[in-house]
Amino acid sequence: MTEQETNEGGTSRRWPIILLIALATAMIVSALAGLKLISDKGDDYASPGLHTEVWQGYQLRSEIQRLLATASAVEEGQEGATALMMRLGVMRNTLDPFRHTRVFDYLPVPRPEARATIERLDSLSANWMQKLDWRDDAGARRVASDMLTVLPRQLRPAHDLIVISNIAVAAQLDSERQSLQLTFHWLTGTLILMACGCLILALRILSSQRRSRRLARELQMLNNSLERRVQSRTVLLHEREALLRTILDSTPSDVTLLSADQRRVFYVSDNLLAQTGTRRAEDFHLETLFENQDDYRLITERLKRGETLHQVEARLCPTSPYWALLTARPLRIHAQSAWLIWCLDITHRKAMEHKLQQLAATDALTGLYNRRALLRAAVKQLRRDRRASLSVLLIDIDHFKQINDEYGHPVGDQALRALAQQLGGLIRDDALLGRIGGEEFAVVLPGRSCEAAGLVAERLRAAIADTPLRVNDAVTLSMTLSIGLSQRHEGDSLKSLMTRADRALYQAKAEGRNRCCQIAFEAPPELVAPAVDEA
Amino acid sequence: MLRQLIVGLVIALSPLSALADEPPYPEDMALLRIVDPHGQVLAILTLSDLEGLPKREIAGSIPDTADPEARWSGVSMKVLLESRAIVLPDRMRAVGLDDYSDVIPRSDLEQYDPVVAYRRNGRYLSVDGYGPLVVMYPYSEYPELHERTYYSRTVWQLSELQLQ
Repeated sequence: MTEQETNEGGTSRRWPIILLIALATAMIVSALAGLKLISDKGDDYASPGLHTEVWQGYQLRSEIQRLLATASAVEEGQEGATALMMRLGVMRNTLDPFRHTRVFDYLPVPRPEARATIERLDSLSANWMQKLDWRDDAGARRVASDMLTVLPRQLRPAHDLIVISNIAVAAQLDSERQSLQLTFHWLTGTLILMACGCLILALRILSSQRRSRRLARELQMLNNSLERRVQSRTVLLHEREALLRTILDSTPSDVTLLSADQRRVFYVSDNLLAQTGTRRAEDFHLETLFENQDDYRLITERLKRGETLHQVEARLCPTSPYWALLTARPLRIHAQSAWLIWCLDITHRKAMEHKLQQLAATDALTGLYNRRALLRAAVKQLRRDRRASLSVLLIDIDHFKQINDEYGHPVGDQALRALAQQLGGLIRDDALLGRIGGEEFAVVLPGRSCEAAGLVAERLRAAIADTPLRVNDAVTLSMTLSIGLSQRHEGDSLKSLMTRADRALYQAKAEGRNRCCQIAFEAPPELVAPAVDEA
Repeated sequence: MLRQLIVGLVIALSPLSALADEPPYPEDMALLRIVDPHGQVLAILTLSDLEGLPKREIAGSIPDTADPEARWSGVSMKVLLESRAIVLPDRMRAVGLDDYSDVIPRSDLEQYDPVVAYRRNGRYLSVDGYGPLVVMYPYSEYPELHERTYYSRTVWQLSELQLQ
């Protein structure tokens, strides 16, 4: 919907409201106007109306006649001034209402003679009243004769006054009737307007009510559908969560998902709970999982830095420790930082690895170091202390080929095993013993002087030469050893050390076997070693 | 305040004010006759007779005239009759000098206690000014009196009370 359409919609919605407001205003205004009209009319009718002019006209005429009668009596001497003044006073008094009345304004045709009659009677009577005195009967007689000449002529105008008053009162009454009728018309109009207004308002209220009921029903329907959708979504979410849980529960790894501040645990495998001795997931603490707290610190620090850890080995479960491979990564869940940590039990693998390492380092026949492992061990010792004195003894069995030829290879092997055992018994624990070739052995002696090493070599040679070697129940052999000795010097590498020892061994062979030879570090090599055919 | 003072001074110095307390008719003139149902005169009262009775003051105006509301002084009709030892009649006809008359029932005397007034705003009433006596109802005290019935009973220029 465009903006213009919206505006038009707004305007069309606003119109009925404006009309209703206008209607209500009109109703209020007309009600107020009606009230004002009624109030004004009410005031008009608060006191009884007048309309007594006809009666007063009649009274005036009658009083003139009585005054004339009294005047005759005064002239004849039967009455005095008091009586005349009384009657004159009463007559004058009947004029008074006419002096104030506005009834003649209602006459359809103006009749000025009415006012003239009143004014003439007023001035005449005032004049007479002035001339009279209560105690002056003679004066009264004079006035009485004056009255008798003047007043009879006023009887006709007085009669006319009655007639005019009658017409005027009738006109006034009719004018009041018309005014009242107009008022009733007004009120009728107002009431019709108000009735229409009430009808429109009532219809409007009814339609509003119907509309609000319909809206409420629609709202209820919307609400219901929304609720249904929420329910289905909730079910879906629950299903998804259950599925996720099932997946997590069935992975070979143990998993935990917890907030980075470690206050909330979203998920933790049963295994991990068991390993930390925790019953409920919310009581799980990552720290208690690690045997070594350094591992814990290292891992959490890296996670805090936002790093992802791949296959970090650590010892878990302090009560019965095992090797685990940890994979951990930070992520965001519910708008907060969280850590997802997978722990894979690698105890078996670790054991296999250990075994393989051992296999790789050991001579299968004798159980001693093989050449590589021995050299590595030697290097390790050298690395530990570069200045440490170190001696290498290369030992070769004299004429071993003859043993093989005479007794066969199995006996040769047994002989090698027996020799290895004997040599192992002859050297100290800190010495390294290995089989580095067919019938060639080596001993790495740490921390000995040149002389001491020579003594060790000599002791070994002597011990083997003097003691027949019991190979098995049937075979006992006498064998001799040729030993080449080299002592490590400053700047000596393991390679050069071995080379010297090798050369010394050749020397010993060359000099007739069953002996120990040593080649000094400084001495220039005298013999170039050819391939040893005895080896 | 100043204006009131000036008006007061003018009134005090005018010769009218000197006359104000003199009735505009002879004091010994018979103003009111009380007549029994058989036409026998029970009492004739002059101004001094009336003034000798307890005074009652009420506020009202003469209907059908342009008179504004005024303070009327006179004698309560009830007191007037009692003073002459006359039992309150059920009805009585009040007759004016112009022979106008209307009947006043006893209930009016008991309920509204109308007055035979001889002074209006402190001044005596002249014959050509609705006087000398006026039957006046306490209009300002009882608004319900504003009806034609009581307007008709407000007889001016009262001259006779006929007991019935």
